[in-house]
Amino acid sequence: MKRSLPTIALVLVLTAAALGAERFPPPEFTNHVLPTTTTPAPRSVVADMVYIGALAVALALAALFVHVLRSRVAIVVLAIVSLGYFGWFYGGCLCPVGAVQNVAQALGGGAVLPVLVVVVFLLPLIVAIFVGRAFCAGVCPLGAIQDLVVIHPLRVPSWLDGSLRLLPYAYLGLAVLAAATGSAYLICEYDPFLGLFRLAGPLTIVIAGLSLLAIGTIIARPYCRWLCPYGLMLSWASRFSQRRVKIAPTQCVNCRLCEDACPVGAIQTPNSGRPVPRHQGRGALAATLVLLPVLVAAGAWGGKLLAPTLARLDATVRLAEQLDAEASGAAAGTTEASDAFRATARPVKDLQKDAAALREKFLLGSTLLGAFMGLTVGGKLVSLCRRTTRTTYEADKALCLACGRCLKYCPVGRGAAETALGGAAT
Amino acid sequence: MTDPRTLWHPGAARLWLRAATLSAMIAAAMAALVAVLLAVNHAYLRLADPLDSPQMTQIKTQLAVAPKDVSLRRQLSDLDSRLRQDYFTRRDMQTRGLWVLAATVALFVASTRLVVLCRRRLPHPAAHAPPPAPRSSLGRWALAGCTLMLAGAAVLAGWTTAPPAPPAPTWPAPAELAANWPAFRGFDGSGIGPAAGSSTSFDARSGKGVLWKTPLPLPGHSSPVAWGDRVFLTGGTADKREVYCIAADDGRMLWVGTVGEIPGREPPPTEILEDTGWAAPTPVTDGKFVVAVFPNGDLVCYSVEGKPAWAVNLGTPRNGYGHASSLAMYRNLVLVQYDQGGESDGRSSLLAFDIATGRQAYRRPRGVGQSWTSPIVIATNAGDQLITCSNPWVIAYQPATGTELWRVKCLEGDGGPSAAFAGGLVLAANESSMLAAIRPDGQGDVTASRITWKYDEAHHLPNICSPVADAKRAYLLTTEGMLTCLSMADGRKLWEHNLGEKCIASPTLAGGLLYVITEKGVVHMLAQADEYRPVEKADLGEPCQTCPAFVGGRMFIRTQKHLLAVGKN
Repeated sequence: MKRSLPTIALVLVLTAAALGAERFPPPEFTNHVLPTTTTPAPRSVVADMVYIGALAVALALAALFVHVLRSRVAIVVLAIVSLGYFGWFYGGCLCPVGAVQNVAQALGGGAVLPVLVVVVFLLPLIVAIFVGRAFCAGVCPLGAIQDLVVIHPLRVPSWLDGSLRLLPYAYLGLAVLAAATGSAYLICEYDPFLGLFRLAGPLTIVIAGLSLLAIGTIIARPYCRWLCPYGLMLSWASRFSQRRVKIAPTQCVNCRLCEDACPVGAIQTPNSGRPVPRHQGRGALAATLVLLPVLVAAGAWGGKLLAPTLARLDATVRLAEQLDAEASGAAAGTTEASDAFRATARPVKDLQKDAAALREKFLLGSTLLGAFMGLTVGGKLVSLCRRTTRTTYEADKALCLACGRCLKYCPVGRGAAETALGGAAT
Repeated sequence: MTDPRTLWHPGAARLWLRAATLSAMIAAAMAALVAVLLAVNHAYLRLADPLDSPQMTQIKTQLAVAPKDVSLRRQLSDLDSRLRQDYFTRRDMQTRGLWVLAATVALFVASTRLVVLCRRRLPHPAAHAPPPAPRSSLGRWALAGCTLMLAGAAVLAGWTTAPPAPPAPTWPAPAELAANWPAFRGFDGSGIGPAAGSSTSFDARSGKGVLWKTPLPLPGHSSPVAWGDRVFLTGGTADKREVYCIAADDGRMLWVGTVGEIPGREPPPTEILEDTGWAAPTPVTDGKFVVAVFPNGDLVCYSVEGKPAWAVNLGTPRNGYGHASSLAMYRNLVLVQYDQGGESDGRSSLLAFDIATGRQAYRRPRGVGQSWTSPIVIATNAGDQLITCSNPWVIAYQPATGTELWRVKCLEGDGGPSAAFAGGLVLAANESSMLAAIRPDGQGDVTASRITWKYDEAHHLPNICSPVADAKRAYLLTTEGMLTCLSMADGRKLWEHNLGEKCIASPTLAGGLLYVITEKGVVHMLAQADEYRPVEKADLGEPCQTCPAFVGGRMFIRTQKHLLAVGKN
C-alpha cells in the first residue's frame, strides 16, 4: 500500500492528459454518421507576421515603459493587453516558452524548425541581451496572469529563494531532453495556465494553474521564479544586458524606501555590513572549486542511472515495456496502446529496435543532464562564495522581472513618469 | 474638473475599503459555490458512464435474447441519444461554469487588491535595522536540501514508473507438465507420451492387463486428461453436462461436477451432430483446477477436489457440427479457440481466461470461419507459441497476449486435424489440401518462406485424425484407416499401410511405439521405424474415438461407455 500511494499520485499527474480524453462508442441503431477526422489548416503567413509584429511591438513597449517612462501603470496595462492577446486570443500558443522545445527537437534532428519559431524563440532573448527581461515585464501571458493576482506578496528568505531557483535548471534540462529525443513537449503538456487560457483541458492541470495563482497572491510569480525554463534562459541573456532596471534614475540616496518593494526578491541590498573574512571566503571558494568536478561526475553518474526512467517519457519505450510485461505475464492486462499496436500487425521486433535506439539516446542525454545539474549546483556553490561590494540598492540583472513596482517607491525618480507622460507633477 | 486624489481623502478611503471588502467577500463566496458545483459536475462526468445505465443494460439484455426486435432497438436508440445529450449538456455547463469561476475569481482578486491598497501604509525604513548580510552557510544547506529533494524525486520517479516485475510463477513447471497429461494429446498437444509408455499386453474383453474399468454416466468424445492420482473427463447430453474426476489408482469416481445455471447463457445450439455430441472438447488441468468447455458455450472450472471455481458462458457458437475444439493451457491461462460462423462473420476468436479466477485475459478476433481443430502450445527457439488451424490459415500467436506472430495459408475444407510439433517443425494437415511442415518463426504471412516441405498425396491426408511425429518420422492416419509414414527430413513417404478399419482417434507416440486405435476399439501398437512393423495388438472391447493419456506407467483410455486403465499396479 505504501508503494502504491506515490505510484497512484504519479500516475494521476502523468496521465492527466489521458484522463482528459472523452471517448464514446458510436450510437447504436441510428443513422448517426461519424465525423471524419480533419486536420486544421496551418496558420497563414500573414497571421505569423502579425504575431511576430505584435511580439516585437510588445517587447519594444515593455522596454520603453521600464527604462524610459519608468511607469508601473503602463506596464500593468501592457500586461493586461498581452494577457488578452497572447493568452486568451492565441490560446497561449505559440509562445517563446514552448518554442524552446521546438528548437531542441530540431537540434536533435527530429523536426524542421520554422522561421516563425526561430524568431519567436530568439526575439525575447535578443531583447534581454540589450535591455533585460522585458518579455517577463508585461509581454509573457504566463507572467502577466501571475503578476495581476499579486495581492500581498511575502518576502521569501534568500536562502530558500536561491535554492528553489535550482528547479528551472532541472525542468529546462528535462524538457530539452524530452523534446530533443522527440518524446514529449513537457513544457506545453504541463503548462499550468494553458487550461485557463483555453478554459479547457485536463482538470489536474487546471487545478495546478489555479493553485499557482492562489499561491501567487502572497508569493509573487512562483512559476516565473522557480519553474519557468525560458525565464532561466532570459536570466542568462539579461546578465549581458547593458541596461538594468534602475531603481533610482540618477544617484541612489539609500533612503531604503524601495527595500520591500520587490515581490520577487530581486533588489540587491548594500552589503557593507558584515563581510566574510577574506581568508574564510578564499578557503570556501577553493573547496568548492575542488568539489565542482566531483559534482559534475556524480551528476553524470546519477543521470546515467536515471536514463531508463527518463526513457519512459517516450511513448515508444513505454509501449515496448508494456508489451514485454504482457508477454511475461507481469502486466495485469492489455492497454489501448498495446491493442492498437497489435492491430497494426507491425512486428514487435521493430518496435523493440526503435525503443532500444531511444534508450541509447536517453542514456547519453540523461548523462549530460546529470552533468549539467552537477555543474549548476557547483556553480551556485561558487556564487555563494563570491564577495561583492555594493553600496546602493540595485536590481539584480538576472532575477529582475522588470515589473516596475520598485520604480514608484524611489523619491529620486518621482515625477519622471508623469513628466514623460505629459501629466502635472507636484 | 475633480482632482482624482480627492477620491482618497480619509472618508472616501473608508467607503472604498468597505465596498471592496464586501465585494471581495461576495466574490469569494460566489467563487467557492461555483467551484463546488463544478467539482460535483466534474465528478459526475468522470465517474458516471452514461452508457452504463441500468436501463440500458436491461434493454441490451433483452436485445441479446431478441436481437431483431425493432421496438427494443428504438428504445435503445432513444435512450442512448437522451443519455448522450444529458452528458454533453453537463459538459457545456462545465465550460460555462469555468468562465463564471474565472470572473468571480478576478473580481475577488481586484477587490482584495483594493482592500490592500486602502490599508496601505507608507514605508518607514527607520523602523527596522538594515538587512543582515546573507548567510552563505544557510544558502549552502538549502542548496544541498534542494539537490537532495530533486534526487529523491528522481529516485521516486524511477521506483514508481518501473514496469512490474514478472510474478513468481504459480503455474506448473514444464517438467511437471511433461510428467502429467494436462490437455488433449498431452502437455504440448502433439500426441507424444513418455518414453516409458505402459504395458502393451492387455485385453479388455478378458480383463487381462486392465487395472480397472469404470462406467461413465454420460456419453462423450472428450479424451481423458490426468494429473497425479486423478483422471478427468467430461460427459454430456442436450440436458446435462458433467465433469468427472476418477481415482487413477482404483477407478473410483471421486466426484461429479454437474454444470448448473450460468448467467447470460444463450439458448442452446440446435445443429449438433450425434458424431460430435455434447462433450467432444477435452478439458485441461494444471493439478489445481480442471476446466471444461461444452458445445453450448459453457466454460466451467472446478478445483481438483470438485469445488466449483467459476463458470462463464461464451455465447452459443454458430457451428455446423457442434463445437469440438479442445482447450489448451499456457502458464496460468486457459486458451479457447472459439471458431464459428463464416469467415466474414467476425465471430471467431481466441480467448484466454485466468485458470484460477476466470478473469478474461484477452479476446482476439481470428477472422476465420468455423473449425473443429484444437490449439496446441509449443516451445520453439523463437519463444512459446500457440498454433491454431482453420480454413485456410495456420496461425501462430503469442500465448500470453494473443498477439499474432505468423500465419501460413495451406489448408482447405472443414478443419478437423489439429497441428503437431516435432523436430522444430509444425505439421498441419487436412484432406483436400496438404500436410505442410512449417518452420515456426517470422512475422505476418510467411506462406512463401516457411513451408519447409509439403506432402499432398490426397488419399493419405487426414480429415479428422491429427498427425503425430518424432524428430525422424511423421505419421498420418485417415478416417478410412490408411496409415502413412513420412520422413521428417524432406516429407518423403517411407511407407503406407491400410488398417482396413475406420479410425477417429488420433495416433499417439509413447514408449517407443505408435498407438493407433480404430473405431471398433482395436489398439495397434507399431514400431517407430522406417518400415511398417506391428509389435502388439489389443482389444478395448468397445468402440473408441478418443486419444489415450499416459501417466505414471499407465494408459487411460475412454471407450464408448467406460474409462479404462492399463498398466502396472
